[in-house]
Amino acid sequence: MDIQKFLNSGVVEKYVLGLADRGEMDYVEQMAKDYPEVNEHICKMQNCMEEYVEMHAIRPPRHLKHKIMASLGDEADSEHLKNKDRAPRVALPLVWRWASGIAALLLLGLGLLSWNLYQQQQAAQRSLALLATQIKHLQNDQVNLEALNEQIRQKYSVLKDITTQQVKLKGSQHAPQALVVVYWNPEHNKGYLNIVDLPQCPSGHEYQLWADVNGKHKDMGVLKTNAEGTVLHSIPYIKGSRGFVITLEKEGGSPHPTVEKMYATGSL
Amino acid sequence: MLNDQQLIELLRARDKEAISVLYDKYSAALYGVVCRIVRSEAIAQDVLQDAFLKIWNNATKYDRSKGTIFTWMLNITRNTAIDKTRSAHFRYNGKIRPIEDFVNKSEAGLSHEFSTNHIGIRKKIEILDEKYKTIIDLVYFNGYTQQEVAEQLKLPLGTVKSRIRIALRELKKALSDRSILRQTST
Repeated sequence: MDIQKFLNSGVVEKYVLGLADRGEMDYVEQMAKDYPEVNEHICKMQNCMEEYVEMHAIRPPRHLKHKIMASLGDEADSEHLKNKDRAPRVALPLVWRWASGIAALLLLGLGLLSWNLYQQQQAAQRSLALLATQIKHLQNDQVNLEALNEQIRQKYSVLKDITTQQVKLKGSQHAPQALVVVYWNPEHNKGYLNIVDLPQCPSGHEYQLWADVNGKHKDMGVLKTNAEGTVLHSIPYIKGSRGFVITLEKEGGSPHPTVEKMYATGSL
Repeated sequence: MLNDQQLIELLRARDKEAISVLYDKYSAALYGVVCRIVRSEAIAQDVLQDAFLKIWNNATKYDRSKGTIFTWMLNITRNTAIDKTRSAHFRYNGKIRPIEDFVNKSEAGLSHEFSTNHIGIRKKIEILDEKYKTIIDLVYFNGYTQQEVAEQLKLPLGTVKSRIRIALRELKKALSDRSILRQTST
């Protein structure tokens, strides 16, 4: 079975987006069971959709949780009620029957009235809850936008700052065309990274970024794949860094750099 | 705080606490999906209730190997919502307009935005190129088939199929782009 062909066929995407029919679902699930890499691929896509859905979250009105929780117990309760014996009927004199009839009518009227009021009150509560949700969402949006704006402003100020140094990490013999640029600002203790070109990681391996501090290599973290592009990524600032090195390490990173697997390097 | 594995065990043991925690954790995400599919707050609440009832009653059918509990709940909820939109009652309910009405096509014919105004939430998520976002949203949030997407966007079916593939790849890329470094695990 050609796994790559299967992954490129589009059936996995249909499965993840809920487009697959029964037959396709069985097929994809069987493939996932048989091939761990298929399973991993599907999990990653499902996680993406989970994240995407979470970006679209809307908080339900507060009363709904109570209603839903209460509805779970309904089956058991109704069974219980069905088995209960009904009370025996007692014969009443005529006048009392009339009186109880009128009382029952009055009670019914009152019941209808209060039911109506209750409905109105519920509707009012719902729209109130809805408004509260909307306000909360708007506030959230504003906070997010402000944070984003602040981030962009900071990045921009670092880039245009004359104290920002540009460090080009040039490719070694492993990857002569590789180029990664670090923007380093000792004045404001900020660092940014831009991957211009870096070869695809062999499977089971990851790139790790190191700072050269007085000849010693300090771990800065593992690079996530697919991070290539024009985006500037914030990286930790390590005081006294004189240069930066990217090495190829086993998945998960390593405590010390593998010098033979140095892929790009550059100094301040 | 309970992790998902403990929650599943509780759920299988029919402990209501499990539903309570799952509700707190995921109801907003699920409700967001339902609102976008049924486009009415009142119906969305009924659908969410039905979905949680199914989750409660079908806990033993959850298969961990097929994905996280969140994905499982999402599938149940999304299917419940889509079934609702296909029911006769929904079609003739005066409050509901057909889904097509909500798709505002711009002059370019591609850019589209959900107008969820009647439920008051208008949120633009700009992590994806509009043409990919449109497709994911039509499929996932409107329950369109590939054929329906092609008709809606006046695109050949082949283009729709390949865009669906690229869209998910782009989404994956966009999500991992948001942060580049993570802690080394050693």
